[in-house]
Amino acid sequence: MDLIERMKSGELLPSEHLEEILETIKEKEPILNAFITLDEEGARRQAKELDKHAGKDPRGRLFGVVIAIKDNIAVRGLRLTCASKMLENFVSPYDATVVERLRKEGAIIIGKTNMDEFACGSSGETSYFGPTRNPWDIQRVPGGSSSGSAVAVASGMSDLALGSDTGGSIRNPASFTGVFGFKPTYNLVSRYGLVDLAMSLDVIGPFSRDSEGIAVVMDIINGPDGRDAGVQRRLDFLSTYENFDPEGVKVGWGEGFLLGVEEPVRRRFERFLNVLDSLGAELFELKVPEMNKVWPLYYLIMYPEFASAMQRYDGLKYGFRGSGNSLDEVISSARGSAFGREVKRRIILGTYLSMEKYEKSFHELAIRLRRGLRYEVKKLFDSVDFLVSPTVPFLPFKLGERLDDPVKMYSADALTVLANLTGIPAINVPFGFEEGLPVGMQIIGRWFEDDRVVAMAKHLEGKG
Amino acid sequence: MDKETFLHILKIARLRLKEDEINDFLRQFDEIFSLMERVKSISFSGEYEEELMNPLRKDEPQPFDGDITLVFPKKRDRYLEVPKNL
Repeated sequence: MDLIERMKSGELLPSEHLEEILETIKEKEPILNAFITLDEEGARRQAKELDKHAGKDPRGRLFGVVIAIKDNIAVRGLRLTCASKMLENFVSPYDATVVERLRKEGAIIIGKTNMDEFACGSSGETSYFGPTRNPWDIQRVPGGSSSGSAVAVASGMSDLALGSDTGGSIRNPASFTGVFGFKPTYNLVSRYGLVDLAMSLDVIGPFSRDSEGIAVVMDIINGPDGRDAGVQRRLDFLSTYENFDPEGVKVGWGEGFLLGVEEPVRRRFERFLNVLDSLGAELFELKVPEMNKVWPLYYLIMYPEFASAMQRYDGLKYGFRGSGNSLDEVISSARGSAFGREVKRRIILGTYLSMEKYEKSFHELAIRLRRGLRYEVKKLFDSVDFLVSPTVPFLPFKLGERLDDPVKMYSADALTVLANLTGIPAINVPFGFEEGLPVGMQIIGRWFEDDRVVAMAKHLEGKG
Repeated sequence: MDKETFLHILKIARLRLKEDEINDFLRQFDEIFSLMERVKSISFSGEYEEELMNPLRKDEPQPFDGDITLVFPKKRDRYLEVPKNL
């Protein structure tokens, strides 16, 4: 934020700042592969425009700040690929609401970031455009699915970034790369311009190296826009961020969040509890849902929604064109060859689960259990203000290690899916290192208390 | 999931797969389903009653300020050219 003041005063021109970032990109991008589309020309044009106002009449709360956008969020005139061969050449005709709002505040859009294909993955490896690498150890994954957004911010190739989170896709890569990543309450941020993965779970949220960046971006992007009718409320993040006092807040945790959590991460978590205690928070050990049993529920909900969302890609009007003599052949060949394995796996499982014959055994049960989970969470929040847990049960793993083992890959989401299934806000707080790799802790809050979650995170910043 | 069901699903999901993909998927599905079975052991003490609210919009057309020619750049006279279905 100091950076913004320097640019507003004219001490550092937005163009000069952008050139520094472009230098970093030139050096690091060939190794890390965080971007699918870089818009150097467009970014320079935006910066030049801002230069004219620097030191005179600078407008916007993100004056000259460089931001990267996950490639499943629409930016007018840039490709919107979702990291899939299916949409390799698709150009977006309009801006998502979140993008429009960031532009108005003087942010410079640097490009579109790499991700797991159609956000299907927890490692950043399923992209048609190749895997993204973790800047802390390039043999390891950066987490996913918003892999490029996390890496761009962690490595200084962007000041800020946007991602999307359906089962942990913001918090997981934020944890693996050591940055803040925030998943808002469902229906706090407009999804207009977001390519959906699973409608009842998807949200857009920010990445930043500091908690203040999260507060500022959230303050800008949250609230009704008239295009996503679900969004009815707006929160003031900045005043809560300034005034929040952690003294005496009630924080809950429980063994149910720690089952299957590996030792180094558990060690960090204990330290996290100690720091919370030293801030004056009251700690409560609660009987929380056993996430090692509960998390597969997420897949039962997500698969059918995903299969349904993917039906629109037939390669007829736009997207990868199939071949054959009948409509069926043209469509089936396009989908068969342009979708990657994980996408196809999820379409097949989702189609299966929503068949009349099998629907009773799993899908209905899943919907009922989801309501049960909401009930449990609501009860927990009767006695505490926040819940805390590690963000991911283990440290970043090696590239390729889990790609052919979907169950092991899915287990990365064990602690993040709770917030998506119930709709509540949650943030990843980078909390130091184990074995030279970043570890993240998660703060979870009540519905529409997003501002308090971000403000709480501020008090844990740099304490790992 | 048996192979017959699997092939039927490929048909309704409109996916043409290669033989090696079919075998890999079938192998993995057993493991995924046993993972899903885990949820059958969960029991919660109650169910959350959703407070339903439907914010509906007025049925009035809104202007689209995007540029659709970015998706369909080819033009013929006053019309945009889109690919033939077959």
